[in-house]
This record gives sequence, C-alpha cells and structure tokens, in this order.
Amino acid sequence: MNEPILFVEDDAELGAQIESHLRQAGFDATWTRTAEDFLDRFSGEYRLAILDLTLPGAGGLDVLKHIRTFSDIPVLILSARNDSFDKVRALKLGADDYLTKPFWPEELVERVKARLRRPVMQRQGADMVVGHLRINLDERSVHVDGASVELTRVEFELLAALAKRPGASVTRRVLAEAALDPEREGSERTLDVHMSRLRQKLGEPNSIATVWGIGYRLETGKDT
Amino acid sequence: MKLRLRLALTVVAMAVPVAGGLSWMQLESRRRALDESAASMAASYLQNGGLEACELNAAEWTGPDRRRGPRGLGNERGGGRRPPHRPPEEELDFRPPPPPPGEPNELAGEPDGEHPERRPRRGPPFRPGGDGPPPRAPEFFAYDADYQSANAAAPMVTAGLRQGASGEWQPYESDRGTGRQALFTTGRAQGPCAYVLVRQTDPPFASRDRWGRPGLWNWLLPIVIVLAALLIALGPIIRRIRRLSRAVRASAKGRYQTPVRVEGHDEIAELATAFNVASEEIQVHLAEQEKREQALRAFLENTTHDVMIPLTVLMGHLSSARDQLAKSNSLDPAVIASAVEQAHYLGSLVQNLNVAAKLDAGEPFTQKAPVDLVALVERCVSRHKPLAKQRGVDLESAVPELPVWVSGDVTFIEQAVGNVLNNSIRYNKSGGHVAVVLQTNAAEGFQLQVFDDGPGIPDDEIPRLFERGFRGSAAGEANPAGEGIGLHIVHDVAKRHGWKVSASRSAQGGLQVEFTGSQL
Repeated sequence: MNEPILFVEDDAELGAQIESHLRQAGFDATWTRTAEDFLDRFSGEYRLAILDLTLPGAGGLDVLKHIRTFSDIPVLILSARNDSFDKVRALKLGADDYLTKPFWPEELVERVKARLRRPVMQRQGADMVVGHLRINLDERSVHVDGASVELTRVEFELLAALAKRPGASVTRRVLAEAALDPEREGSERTLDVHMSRLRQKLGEPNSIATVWGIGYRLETGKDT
Repeated sequence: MKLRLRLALTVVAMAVPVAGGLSWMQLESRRRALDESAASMAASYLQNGGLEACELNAAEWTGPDRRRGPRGLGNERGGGRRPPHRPPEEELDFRPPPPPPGEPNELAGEPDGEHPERRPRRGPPFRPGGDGPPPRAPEFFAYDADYQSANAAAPMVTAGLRQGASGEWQPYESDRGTGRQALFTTGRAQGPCAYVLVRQTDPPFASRDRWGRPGLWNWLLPIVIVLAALLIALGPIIRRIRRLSRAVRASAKGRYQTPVRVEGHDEIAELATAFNVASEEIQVHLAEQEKREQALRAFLENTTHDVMIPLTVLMGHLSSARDQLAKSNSLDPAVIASAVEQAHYLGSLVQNLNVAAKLDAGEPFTQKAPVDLVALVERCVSRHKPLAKQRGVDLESAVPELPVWVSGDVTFIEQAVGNVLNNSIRYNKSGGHVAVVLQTNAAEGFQLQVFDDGPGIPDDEIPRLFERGFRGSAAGEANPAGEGIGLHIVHDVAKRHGWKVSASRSAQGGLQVEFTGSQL
C-alpha cells in the first residue's frame, strides 16, 4: 500500500473528503486545487492520478492531454456529467477509468485499488506462480510451498483455469469446458466432486472459494 | 432592381449593339454591292464608248453625260417610299447616250422598247447611295501611264491607288468631302487614258455617319415592339410571383403549417413545390424540437417532484440520527443504514431521470460507440457494492478474460444494468445473494444475466415488469417512494440497442433478468 496518489479537486469539501478517504484506505494522497498546481507537483513518483473534469480554467481534459504526452500513469476521471460523449472522449484522450458523481467513497477507493492492482499471478518461464502455488504447464506439475502435489488431469486443468485468473470468479461452464471431456467425465454435476478433491489435495492456504450462482474462485489472500 | 426594369435594360443593352452591328453589316454589304455595281457600271461604260470619249478629249472628259431626272431620289430621312415631289437631284444615267432616233434603246431595261424621245422611266436607275440620300454623280478622271492627267482638275493618284488592284475601291478625303474612289487600268497603255479614276463623293451628312444611322433607326421599331411584348408577357409572371410571395409570408406567419398553392407546371410552380417541401421539413424539425422541449420540461418537473420526497426522507433520517446522538450518545445503525440507502436511491433516481429525459428527447442524445461490457459490469458492480454491503447482500460477478465489445451508448447501458442490479439488491434481504454473469457464445453474441435468491416476482407480474410506472407488489414494501422508471429504462435501452431483455424466475427462486445481443 501507501502508493502516492496525486489528485486535483477544486471543491473544498469534496477535496477534503477524497483526501481523507484515500488516506484512510492506506494511500499517500496529495490534494491540489488547481490545474496549474497539479502540473507543478506532478512527477514520476506518483502511481495514480485523479482528475476532476469540472475544474475551471484549463479543465481536467487539458491536464490529461498534457500529462499523456510524457506519462503513462493510470488516470481516473471524476465528473458530474453522466454523459457518454464526455466518457468516450476522456477514454480516447488516455483516461483509464471514469467515475460519475455522486459516488460513495468506497467506490472511489475500490476503483483506485483496481487500477493499482499488481498482477497477482506471475509467470516465470513456464511456471505460473500464485501465492503459495507454482504450476508448470509443460510438465503439468504443481508445487505448494515447494512440495509437489499429485493431481489428476481434470484436477490439474481445473486448477490451471482458476490460477490463470486469480481472484476472479470463473463460471462452472468455463471450468467444465476447460477440464471435463463431455463424453467421459460428464457434465457440470461432476465438477463439484472434482473441485472438492482438488481442495483437499491443495490444503488450506490456497483456498478455492465457491462463488454463489457462478462457480469457483482462487483466493489469493490479497485485496481484490 | 425590379424584374421589368432589369428585363427592359437587358433587352436594350443587347438589342442596341446587335441592331448597330446588323445595320453596320447591312451598310457594309450595301457598300460592297454598291462598289461592285459601280465598278461594273464604270467598266461597262468605259468599254462602251467611254474610253473613246476619253481619248477624244482627255482634258475635259469627266465621264458620262449628266442628266437631270424628273424626280428626286429618296430624302434625308432615308428608307420608305419616295414622296412624289422632290427637289430635283441629279440622277446619274450610266446608260450610253441615247441612240439616234429610230434605234431601240436596249439598255434602258424596257424589253418592249420605247419611244426614245420619251424621258427615261422612273425604273431603277443607278443610285449608288441605295435607299439613302442620293450621292453626287461619280467623277471620272483619266491618267496616262505616268499617272499624269490632261485634266487640270484631276486629283493626284495616291500611292495607295497605285498599289491597289484595278477597280479596288478605297476611301478618300479631299477638301470637298469624303468618298470612295477606284483606279481602273484600261489596257490602253499609250495615250492619255491608261488609267481611269472613278470618284464617288458621299453626300454631306452621310460622311458624318459611318455607322449608318439611318440603318439603326430601321431597327428601332422592331426593338420597341419586342420590348413591349416582353414587358407585357412579364406581367402575369410577376403577378404570380407576387402571389407566391404573399402565400409564403402568410404560411410563415402560421408556422409553416399551410402549404402554398401550386399553380401551373413551370419554374414558378417548381418554386412553390420546393417551398412546400422545405416547410414540411421545417415542420418536422419544429416537432422534434417540441419533443425535446417537452422532455426537458418533464425532466425538470419529475426531478423536482421525485427527488423531493426521498430527500425529505433522508433529511428525516439524519435528523433522527442527530437526535439519537444528542439523547443517548449512541447511534442506531438502522437509522444510518436507512440514510445511506436513501442517499443511494436519490443518486440513482437523478441519474435515471437524466437518462429518461435523454431517451425521450430522441436521437441526438444517443451515442453509438464501442463499449466494453466487461469494464462496464465491473464499474456497475463496484458502484453497488456499498449498497449490497449495507444490506448484507452478497454481490458476485463473473466476466470473460478478454473485453466484450458492443456498439452503443455507455451511459444508457450502464444505467440499465445498474437499475437491474439495484432492484435485485434492494428487494433482497440480509444474507441473500445477487450475481452478475457476462458470457459470450460462439455466434458472436453475448449474454448478461443478473439473478438473485430474493423474493422474485409473481409469475403474473413478470410480463408487465418493464412497463413505465409499473411497480409490483414487492416494490411497494421495499420503498414506498420509488418510481417504476428504472425498469422502463431497462426495456427502452435494450430496445434501442437491438437487444433482448427478459425476466424469469431464477434457478434459486428469485428473479433473473437477462440481456442478449450481438457483439461488435
């Protein structure tokens, strides 16, 4: 956490609130009130920028255009107008996300976190590394904290499908398509059986959560 | 400048030069004819005794005998018929001297012969001036091979004459006036009559007029007649145009609702038709504008009306909270929860009213651009997580890995999906679940489902779900101050994007709403 965030908001109350909520969420937030101020302060140390489009003067879009000439920093736009033209234009100019007022602080924080999320799964050569798991797709081997785990073909495919998108819910249909041979293993009903076996083999720290109405999710223990 | 005046000026401006040109051409051709006939007459005279007369008496020879004619020729006005009494003018007679009595006068032009003593008939004597005033009789002068004349009164033979061809007419100027002259080579190189100069002096006023003014006056009458005819013909046209203008003005006053009458089949009728077409288009635009104004007015009214109640309720909650805190220094979470929900509802309502107004106002407010449904679902879920958490409802979602692109308006779609989510969460109870699933299929289509394990909708109400203003029995309990606008927008947006939206009972016994459509 503690990522430095720079934002510009000309409304005093809203600016104070945003600063407070970001800080409470653990970010190192810096609040500027004008476009000039923002551009003055801007530097490569910041991990994310928040621009309010209702800025007077230069306006948020001009600031966006300007910083896009030299920075790829993730940019979140705040706007009071729920207008498609504005949104499309902002995205075309290089904004990454768009938040319309009114919004709850939690929503802002979640969107900021989503933009700052580091890839949870890393590829090292032929390996996928997620949390305690290391999966090698070529050798079809799985290690939990270094210890090898023996999995059936179906179990391996299920785990690989979940590990590719850690933290995201995967539908039963997708899992079945990835792992089950419709002629041999049957349909989604057998899926649950395979999943429970897989869970047992992997053990606690790498929990596979059941997602209501949807399917399963590989929990990583990190904020999603 | 009015039409008539413009037409008159145009006619005059065109006719005068044309008439001038034509009369000049006429004059020129007459001159040429004149020159030719004069030349042939001179040649004929020279051949038939003229030369002999010259050689007999070169010093005094000036050409054929002059005769006085009984009648004058033409008058200064030119053209027209000859009035009977005229000051006698010289009438030149190129006919050879009358033969002795008894011999027929062949050259007189009277086939049946005539008494030679009789005066020459009025016939067509040679009149080099044509219809104009009669010229003076031509003069003849003889020169020898060295261009010297025995006649003291003979003019000098100019270089131009010497270089010209035999019989070539050239203009000349002398102290007696201007005219035309030609030098003829006689073929008798010896003797005093090697060359003969024939001179034709212009009448005094003719020399002033190189443009043939008499000819121009000829044209005046036809020009005037044509002009008059045009101006008269223009009358009805101008009247029709004026009528049309009046009709157009009247129509404009009545906001272009009455078309103008189309008379006839000509260009004016085309103009009238074009105006009618244009005014129909204006009507269409005006109607659209009315529609937009109505939508805006409705938005203002609805906003004012529909926002006030939830806002009041919110104020009520906050007031209760304040009182509680003051009394017991503690806060009932339920009051805060209600306040939170009311605020959320307000925000959602204002957005809905905004979107509804845009939908009502028509096309200009709808965008067609690529929209990523994956990002859209993520935004929607993110927006409703606080509400779900507040109510103790578990909100889950599943999207494909790669973006799912559709063509449409991102705001409308997001609002529609959000409304469905909102309803599912609001009508659910603590411990309940809501799930949003976006999937693609092989046929380049997508499926977006929102389903829950809430109370669901009675089967008989499901078909009416998307009607504007319809609020099912369940809705009344959850939020008395709501408006059926949310699901109506869902239906409208789906329709506009060419999607299908359906409601059914979910596998878990609650409500399932599903959007299906094609990808980009």
